[in-house]
Amino acid sequence: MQPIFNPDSTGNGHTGTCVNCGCEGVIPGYRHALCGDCRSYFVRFPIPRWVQLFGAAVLLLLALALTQFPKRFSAALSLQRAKQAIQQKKYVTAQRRLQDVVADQPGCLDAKKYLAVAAFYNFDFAELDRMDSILAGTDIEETNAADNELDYVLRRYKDYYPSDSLRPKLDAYKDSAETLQLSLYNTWLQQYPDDFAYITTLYASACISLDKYAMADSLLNTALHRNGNHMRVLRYKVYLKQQLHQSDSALYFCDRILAINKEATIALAPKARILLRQGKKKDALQLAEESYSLSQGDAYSMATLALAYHFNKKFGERDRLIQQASHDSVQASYMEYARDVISGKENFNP
Amino acid sequence: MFIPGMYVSMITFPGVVVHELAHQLFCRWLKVPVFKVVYYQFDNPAGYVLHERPKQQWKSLFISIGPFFINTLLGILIALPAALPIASFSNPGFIDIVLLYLGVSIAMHAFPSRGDAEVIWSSIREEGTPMWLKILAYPVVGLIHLVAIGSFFWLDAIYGVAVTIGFPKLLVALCS
Repeated sequence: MQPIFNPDSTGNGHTGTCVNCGCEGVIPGYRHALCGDCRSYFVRFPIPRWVQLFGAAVLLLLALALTQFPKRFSAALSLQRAKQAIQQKKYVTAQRRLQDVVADQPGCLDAKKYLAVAAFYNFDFAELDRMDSILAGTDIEETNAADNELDYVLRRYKDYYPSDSLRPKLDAYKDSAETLQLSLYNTWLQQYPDDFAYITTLYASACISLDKYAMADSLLNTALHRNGNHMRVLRYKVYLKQQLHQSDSALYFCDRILAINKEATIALAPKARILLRQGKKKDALQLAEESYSLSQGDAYSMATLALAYHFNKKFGERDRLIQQASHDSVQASYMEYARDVISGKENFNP
Repeated sequence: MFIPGMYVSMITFPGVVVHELAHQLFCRWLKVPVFKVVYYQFDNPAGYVLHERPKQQWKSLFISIGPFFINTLLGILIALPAALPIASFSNPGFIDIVLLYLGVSIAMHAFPSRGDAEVIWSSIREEGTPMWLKILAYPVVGLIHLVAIGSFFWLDAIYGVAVTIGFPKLLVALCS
């Protein structure tokens, strides 16, 4: 049916015949005199073909895009949760989520920038280098939060590696760090002032190896004075204080690392061992489990958990973990200490 | 920046089409005869629907504000898959940009026009209009006029972008 009725020119006068087709049988009670057929027709006024095709094209495009939606939504959720984890200083959680985002959305630069940031705080410098090389050449925007975090991290990262000019000198000593002449320390510092943090931690490490703990402590204090958040220095401090049986001091430095990264296994596992030595078995077990769950491949965390199981009399779990470690040479070597403690060969509370 | 409404409507014509289609569909659902539909024209108004004035005034209200719901929902839905690559990942593809353009165009034409407000106004001023409907409709008419003024300051475009980009971001924030 084609409409012939022009509502612009016709009022709503009821003449008794349909204003569209002229037939009798107008349905009463409406403003326009229309018969049943015409009223039904106008109620279902046809939608032109081009509008239908336009709608179909939009729906087709929408259907195609919607197939991507679940994956994109999941990635967006992971990115959001990773950002929250970074705000909460939970960098292991953040790194795991960001790795998922980067795998799903390789074009997402922010995810790569945040991944580099999380990797730095997790001491995963291989991942940081990988992201840094991928991001090389991308624009840095001061207003972008990810850029600002990455910029901060990359400036700090320089403290963890020797400069290109220092590197050849170090190569000469790479197999015998302990033989470094301490007299070289000052010379190198004068020659390479930008490498202060690296040289200082290197010498502190050499001093620890040579059991020159007082010298090492002094060097580490100097380094911490320059940068109180240098995680490698803090890590050495924890080790050094453990060697000196200064457990409260060791705990203090563990907590300083954990203030930077709440999920730092380099602090969680040592802290668990210190608490075990202090007889706080349940707290130690909780920390050891947390450390192991955050880094299941970490041999030190694994051995710590075995010790925590042992002192909490969870012998079944302990033995399963020891058995599991036997398949990996690195884990087995760390577990050797735990086995010695368990068998009584090694004194855990010297 | 002032750009004449006709040009804005031309650039965002899919929204005009959906707006008029929404009026038409509400007429169909409420069994109100439609006599003429102009889905888009390069004129002012860019589109309109000529329909019988229903005897029940609430139908006039719903026919007039129907596009607000249809355009907003459709705009959000169409932009939904595309908004995340733009808002969260900053790596939109070509289809994403097309979908976002469609979504924003449709959502920004959600607001009823001044013509729609006049229909509501004349309808609720008829005798026998229930008080509850007047209480509901008067603020709606006022809002429509306010938004019409706001459109000089791109309020309609801001609304379109806000709902299409903002909704997926809100969804992610709520679920995270």
